[in-house]
Amino acid sequence: MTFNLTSLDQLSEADVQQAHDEISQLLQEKYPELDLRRGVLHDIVAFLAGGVCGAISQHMIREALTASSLSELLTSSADVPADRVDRLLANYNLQRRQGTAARGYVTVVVTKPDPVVVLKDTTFTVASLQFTATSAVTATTTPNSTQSLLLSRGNNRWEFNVPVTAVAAGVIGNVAVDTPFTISPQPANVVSAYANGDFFGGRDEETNEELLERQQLGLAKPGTSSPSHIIAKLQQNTDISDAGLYSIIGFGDPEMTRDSHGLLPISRGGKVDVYCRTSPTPQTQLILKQCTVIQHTNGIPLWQCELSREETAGVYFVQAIRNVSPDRILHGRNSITLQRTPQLLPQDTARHDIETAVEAYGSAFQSLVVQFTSPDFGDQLPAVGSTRDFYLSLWQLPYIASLQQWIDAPENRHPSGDILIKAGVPCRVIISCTGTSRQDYSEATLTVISETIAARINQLPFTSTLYASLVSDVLQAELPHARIDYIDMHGSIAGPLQDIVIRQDGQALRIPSLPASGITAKTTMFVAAAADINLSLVRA
Amino acid sequence: MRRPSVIIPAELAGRQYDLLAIPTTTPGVVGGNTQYTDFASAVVTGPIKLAQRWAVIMLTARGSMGFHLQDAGSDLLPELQNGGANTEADVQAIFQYANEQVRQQLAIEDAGGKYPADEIFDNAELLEVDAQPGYLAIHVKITSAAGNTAEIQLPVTLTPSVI
Repeated sequence: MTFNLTSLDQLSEADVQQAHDEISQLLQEKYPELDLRRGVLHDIVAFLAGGVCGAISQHMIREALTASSLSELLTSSADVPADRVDRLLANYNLQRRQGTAARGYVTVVVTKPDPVVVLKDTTFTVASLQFTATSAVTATTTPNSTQSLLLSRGNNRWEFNVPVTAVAAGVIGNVAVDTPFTISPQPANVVSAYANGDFFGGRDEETNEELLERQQLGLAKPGTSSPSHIIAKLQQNTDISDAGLYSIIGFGDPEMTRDSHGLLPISRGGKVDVYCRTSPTPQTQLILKQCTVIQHTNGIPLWQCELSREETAGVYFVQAIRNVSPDRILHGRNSITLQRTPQLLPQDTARHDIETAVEAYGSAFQSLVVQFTSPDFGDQLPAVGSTRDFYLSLWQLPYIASLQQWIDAPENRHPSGDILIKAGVPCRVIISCTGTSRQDYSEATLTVISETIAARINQLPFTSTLYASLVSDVLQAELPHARIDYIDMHGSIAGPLQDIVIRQDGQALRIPSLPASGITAKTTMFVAAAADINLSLVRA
Repeated sequence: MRRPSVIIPAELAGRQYDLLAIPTTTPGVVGGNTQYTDFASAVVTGPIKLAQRWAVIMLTARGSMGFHLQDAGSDLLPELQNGGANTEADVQAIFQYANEQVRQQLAIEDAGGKYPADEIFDNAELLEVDAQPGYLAIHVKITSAAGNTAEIQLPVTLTPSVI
């Protein structure tokens, strides 16, 4: 760590004059025969060596004091070099989270069922973002244990997946599902490539402000007793993309049901539910599942598959069923039936007590039975018991399983407590703003504003209310020539038992208190997508 | 800490001296109250000290010191180095203007009344200008309020130095 003075202009006149006066006074007292009021001694010794050099020393001292003062850093963190913040916060056992590269799978579509080889480090590009294949992939229609399946999509198209990682760290690498890629060098017969699911894991390096905010939150000693200690403990987990937001439910909270299992419905404590926001928004992931016809309904097969807990950590629901061959979406969320049950292995039962779907919702200990009908079966009705592959599009919060595993580790877990990590219940917000403007704004500008509003909402901690003022604050800052006449907000809560639509109450959207359904201000988080924020401006 | 071994003559006792930085053309008078040389260094009092102070202000480009001394100095060097003098009359005019600036600054300093009369500024007279290519030697006589004089040669390089 160095302190630099790049220009004398950085010195303040007051510092120079003070140092000048001080050295003059000291020299005069020591050597009364010197004339320090004017002349060479004044200009060269007192002013330059005393005043200017003294002010330089004072500047450096102030820099050093600032670098070692938490309160000074909190007021000027943006201007302070990162290494100084790192050095100070190391005293609090805090380390800056480094940026990480996003990762995910790219589905590559080819026109022939010939074996395809994608070499390690093959480049996949979207816009200016580059990703490389994490490992070499050889795809064939009859794969062995080291090869990947070249899956038929119908219409003379086959597909396979390639794991990729972003070249550069950053949240910008978290591209959305279906984002198209180009490949270099491109294997033969490739017609398209796209993101198989939302990419995740991309994280920007923590800024000074974020690190200092984490320091303030983390002043409590990491532990598993009080809520602040538990949050401080969770903040130690460096896998979480972005700074996680947490809500702690425990003994005496109406949302807590796990501590009253037994003959008498009395809370006995010892259970903690941690609702998490481990990512600003939930993500979409596609998984390929073999489904089985379990019955025929009106001549249409009813398909079913089961998702084990390894596949469903943090999953809210299946938002779509996608046919593999031909590739198209068969069902939206409303025509998919889900049955959610707790899934605990024998070794888990000593640590965790989960009995109901509400308790298991969004955790790493849930399994899902998925049922849907599909009229898309060609000429021959598939017999009961026959199987077929479908893509399931899951809406889920990442890192729930890894966080649960981390907190359950012997060195982290409470010796007599049961801490359950759960994905916060999402309340998807839809906002419409209408107004008049004395200036034309481009579609791109309005899109950026929508993204800004969405980002602000997605940074909110668990809270009971989303105020319209949050939206109007952004609009007034970004659209100085516009007048916002009306802001309409409503939300859709994907609850453990049912979906609930909430409407604007005055100038705010309020989370209802339904603890038996797992929906309260302490369990539910507002989630926004830029596409769901509509801005309409009429030219005045 | 041992003090520097500068031997001050008895007649300088009670006077405050400055370091000699700009030699005057007035011969040093060892033991007098004008100039005292002690091997590697020299200290000055009286009219030579006054002349040196006048020269220091005159040769300081106004604004170059910055900070609380932003107004110290004169416009002599900037004017000469910016090509403002084509004839000796031009040098005279620039000198007079700059001398007035110096006079005002010295008057403020002298207003404290703590200086002996031979260190209080009264007048500066331009005696001679010796013009050489890229160089001017300006010969000046400084007169104190006590009537003592000291002559000093101002070396003026007409090409601005780059620092």
